[in-house]
Amino acid sequence: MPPVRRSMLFTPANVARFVEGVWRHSADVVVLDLEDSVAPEEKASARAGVREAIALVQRGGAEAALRVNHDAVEADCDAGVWPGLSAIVLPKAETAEQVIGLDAVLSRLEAARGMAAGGVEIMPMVESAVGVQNAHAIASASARVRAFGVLGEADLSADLGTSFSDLHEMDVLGYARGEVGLAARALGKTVNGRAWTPGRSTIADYGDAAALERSMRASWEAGCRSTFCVHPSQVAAANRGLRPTEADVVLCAEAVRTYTEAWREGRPYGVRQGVIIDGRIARAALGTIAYSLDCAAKDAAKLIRRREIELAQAVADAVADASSAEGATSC
Amino acid sequence: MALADYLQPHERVAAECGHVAATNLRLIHHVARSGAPLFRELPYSMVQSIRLAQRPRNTTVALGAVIAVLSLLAGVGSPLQIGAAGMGAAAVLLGIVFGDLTLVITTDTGGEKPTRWPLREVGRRESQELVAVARAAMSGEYDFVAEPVAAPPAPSVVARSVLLLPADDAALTLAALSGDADVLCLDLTTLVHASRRAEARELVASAVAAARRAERRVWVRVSLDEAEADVAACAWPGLEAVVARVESAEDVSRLDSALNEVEAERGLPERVRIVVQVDSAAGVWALRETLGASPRVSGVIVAAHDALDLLGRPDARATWGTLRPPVLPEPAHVRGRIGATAAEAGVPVYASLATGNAPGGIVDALRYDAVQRLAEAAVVARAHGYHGAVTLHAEAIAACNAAFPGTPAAVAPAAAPAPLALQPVVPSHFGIGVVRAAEAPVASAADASADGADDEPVSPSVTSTSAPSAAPPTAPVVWQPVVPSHFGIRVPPREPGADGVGVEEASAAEAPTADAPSVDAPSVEES
Repeated sequence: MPPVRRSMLFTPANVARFVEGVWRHSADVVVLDLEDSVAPEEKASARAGVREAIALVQRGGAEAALRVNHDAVEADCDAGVWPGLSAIVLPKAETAEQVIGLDAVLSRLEAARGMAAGGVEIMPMVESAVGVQNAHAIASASARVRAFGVLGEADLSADLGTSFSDLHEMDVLGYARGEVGLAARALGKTVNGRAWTPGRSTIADYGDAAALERSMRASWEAGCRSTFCVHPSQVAAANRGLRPTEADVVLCAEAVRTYTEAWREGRPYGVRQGVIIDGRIARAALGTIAYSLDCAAKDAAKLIRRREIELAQAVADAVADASSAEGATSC
Repeated sequence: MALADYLQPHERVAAECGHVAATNLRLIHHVARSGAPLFRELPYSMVQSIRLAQRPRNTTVALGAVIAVLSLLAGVGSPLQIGAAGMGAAAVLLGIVFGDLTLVITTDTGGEKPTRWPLREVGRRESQELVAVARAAMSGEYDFVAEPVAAPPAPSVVARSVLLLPADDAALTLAALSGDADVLCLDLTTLVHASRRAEARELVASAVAAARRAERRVWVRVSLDEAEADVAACAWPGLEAVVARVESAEDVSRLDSALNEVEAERGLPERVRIVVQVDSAAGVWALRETLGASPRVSGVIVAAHDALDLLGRPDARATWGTLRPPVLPEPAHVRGRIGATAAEAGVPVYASLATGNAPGGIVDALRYDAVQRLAEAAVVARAHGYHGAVTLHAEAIAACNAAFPGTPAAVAPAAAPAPLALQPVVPSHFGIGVVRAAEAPVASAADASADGADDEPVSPSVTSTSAPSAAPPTAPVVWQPVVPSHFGIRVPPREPGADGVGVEEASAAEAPTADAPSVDAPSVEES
């Protein structure tokens, strides 16, 4: 069962205000960004803050990840691979060698810094035609790649010459999406990314709440487990949409029962409402039920952390109030 | 670099068989990447067909005509005048024969005229490239007009309809023997409860023998985990093929060696074939290797209803419940990939026409229209280039037999429809067909005045020279940019009575079978 990572929210690593406040948005993963959200002249100062930021962004129960620059992987990893980090997001992944190189860097840093070997995941983003052509090689280059299928839609569009702005209307990235998704599935990886739906629901466009909702539902139906976000509204939609609904869970439970009863009676498959439920389906339905429990557990954990933080804050405020009042009376 | 170089060989072949989705998307992305403004500006979801046409060079023709007329008007006599007239006439001829190439793009925007793209406007490099390709095609050097498909499927193994049924139910098998399915496929795997597997293996040998006596074609679906035992149980004279769910070349090799052993031992008269069932992403990805792993491989079944990892929702069928499952559930990209690979290997592809329904469940009140839906699915599958379909539902057999073109044995050889593979498609240019001025007088003569003239189909003379002589003269292959789904998926011309019949006629096709003992839908209660 893959970890629950429905929403992965990008946060510029160099803006202290964002890093401190991002836990409030309840993302499953916070991705500290050293790449596109950081101006070239600020990269150095951004790197300096990553180690502290890793702890800060995890306060609300999120996992921490780091998006590195594809042309400065070593320096970025050196700054950011510390205990607590779950994954490195590798943008502009084009070849297996890139992934193998990153794997070596991570192994070295994990050993040097007392982290579990192989614990830091690699999440490659395919953002170019070369990346699409090498999808299978990239995804199979390292055991650290456990989920695959994310397209950097804007950059990929630019590279392919397709119109990113027309992605609202037509799936101009259909081939790339299919190829990358097929590679992920063929290798048995968790499938990440987003299915295509018409309407304003790309990563860069989150104004249309209904379209966003539809996009997340469709992505779940298409097997996607995780999507990158740049805005809290996307986080909320992903957390709601990229999981089984209650109705799904009920149907799955019925399917499991149908199959087990049939099996006990010596039939090779059960039938529910005219549909064959065989062993594969029943096992998959069990998996869905388990995943929905995982999602609920994740949400509960985040809620508890939030309450704890709020309570601690309230206590601190009260203490501060009391002491200031005390100070006032003593004056 | 010619545009064709962007395509992989198997994609080139595949596009000829109508498996165009993946090919075209891939091509467009590559071409867009190369920076050709032509394609970048195309709203390509609207494009129905693109082809090259030759237009007379108006200035050259007019100038030549003026010279010729003037010199003739000046009076006949001096060799100079005759020479001038001759040169004028030559200029007219040259202007027509070596006319400018024009791209004619038909979109599906309704009554609008096709867009013309004079090639000199698309930039020097691209236009040279396109012209070079077109010229090569005209002179026959270039093989993209009707490139012969590698080894067409052996006729004996193409089946319009394959009825899948559990091997442990003798009564059901007996009933199916008198049905209409081209092939009976006895299942030793998921349709048989584990506790009855031994019994099923015993029954399958007698079923194969019975099928042989009844002159029915029979396949057996075997489990890969117990390949040796299953193959030993079913490989008797009369068995045409074993079906197995495979994900790698090793899987096929395993079946191959099991069959080798049994065949050598029993001295079977004919080599048993292997039909691979693809129902996982890994299976799709490895298909090229699996098809090449043994010469026995003679078909691919796309069991997309079982391809849970392709369908996205792992529990897809569990949650279909009250929903309508999709007609052809496999993603278009996957369909294109499988079609391309199978076409390259020259093996037929079978759709799996299951609405997810259990046999017997088909008449469920919730699904009263299931038979109609299966019939529609068969037609859609045919349009997507599938050669036949596998189904659990005896009710769907008539629709399959009607929808798919069938085997030469089933229809008179003279009336056999031209296979899809012979379409003059131009895979490498997503549907650029070349109209030869000399052979398409309608196009070239009326070109200057009537824009619509270029919409005429490629003249049969072009296609009849390129299609093998096996193609019937009565059924010329013509361009038919039909396609709800754009991009040159073409439905071949339908010869009433020879080719498949439409859905409406499916009921008529069922009629003759009415007095034959009908195969009852196997119900779960029975099994």
